[in-house]
Amino acid sequence: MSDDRDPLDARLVAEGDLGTLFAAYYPVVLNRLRLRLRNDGDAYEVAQRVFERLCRELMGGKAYPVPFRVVVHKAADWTYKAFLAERHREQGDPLPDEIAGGPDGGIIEVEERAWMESLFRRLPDRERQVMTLVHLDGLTIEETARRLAIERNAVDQALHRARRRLRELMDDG
Amino acid sequence: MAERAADLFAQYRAAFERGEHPDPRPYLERAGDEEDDLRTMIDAFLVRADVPSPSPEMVAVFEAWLRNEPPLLELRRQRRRTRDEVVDALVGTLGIDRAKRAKVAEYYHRLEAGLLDLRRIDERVFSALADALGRHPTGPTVARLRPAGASAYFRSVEPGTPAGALPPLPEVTPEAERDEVDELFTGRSP
Repeated sequence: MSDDRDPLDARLVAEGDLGTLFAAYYPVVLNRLRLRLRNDGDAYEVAQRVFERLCRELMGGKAYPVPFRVVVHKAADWTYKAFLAERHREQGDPLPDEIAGGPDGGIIEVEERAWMESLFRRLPDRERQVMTLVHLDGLTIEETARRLAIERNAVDQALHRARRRLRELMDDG
Repeated sequence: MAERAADLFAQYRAAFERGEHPDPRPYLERAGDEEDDLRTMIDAFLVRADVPSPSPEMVAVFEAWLRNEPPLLELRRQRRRTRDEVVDALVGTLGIDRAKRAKVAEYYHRLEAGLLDLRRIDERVFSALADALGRHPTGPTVARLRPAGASAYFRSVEPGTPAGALPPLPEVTPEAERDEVDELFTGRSP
């Protein structure tokens, strides 16, 4: 799991070793952008802006309330949306639904996601997988079943068990 | 069941776990009408995947970038290539008339300094550059990474930005005299 890396990232941030940190995440961010942008030059341009933004923030002493991996992927999502919005404005086109919500409104979303991830980590593997795919990645029940190669009914049952378990965990404080 | 997408995703994941950082687009191209399924799978995987430790060369390149030094220059140093060697390799690989070598050298200088719009550069230039610097995953990536300081300059001359503190870079060639070298380095539609 990616959260195994969080302590190392936290140490790199604390030590100011941004070269190692950025070199590790740059290829992953670039490939996520390539999934969305047909023009490779655009993907490189957005990746450039993502790491310039992170560089400004980290060198300015910004401390993030969530693990760096969450920040870097969220920064990629915001920067991608800002880039698309810029393109649409230049061309006089209306903003598509995908980006109409604004590129920079999501720090609360980042914190919520991190909090939910921390809750889901207390669940058994299958329930955690299902809750993550449905509630954090926004997949439908059918899509979740396909992703995990299980029956739709098994997804429903895992969701039911996970929600009951989370209620119990939260009741117990 | 999106079987083709699942199969391609398994291939992508295996390549990633071998440390290859595979470009996902060739996989999407093979997915046919399951392309959207595959895009969702790969994206969710990349968000959660364990990020492998980068190579020392890649770290050195990003350290140069953080110092506002040209990443491409750092990569060229790491590969122990002189600028003349890279320019000669570009001229040869791209089949450019030797008489135009000085113009290629000027464009390479601007590329290395991050002063060219990378979206306007022909893919053949990046391919030739990867050959010149040695085929390695770091090469093609770094060739397109502008030094952080160059971005301020670059944006100051982009359309729609306020009249900049910095003047536009002079064209290498007057408009009426543009040739295939200008097209390779500045002719592509962004």
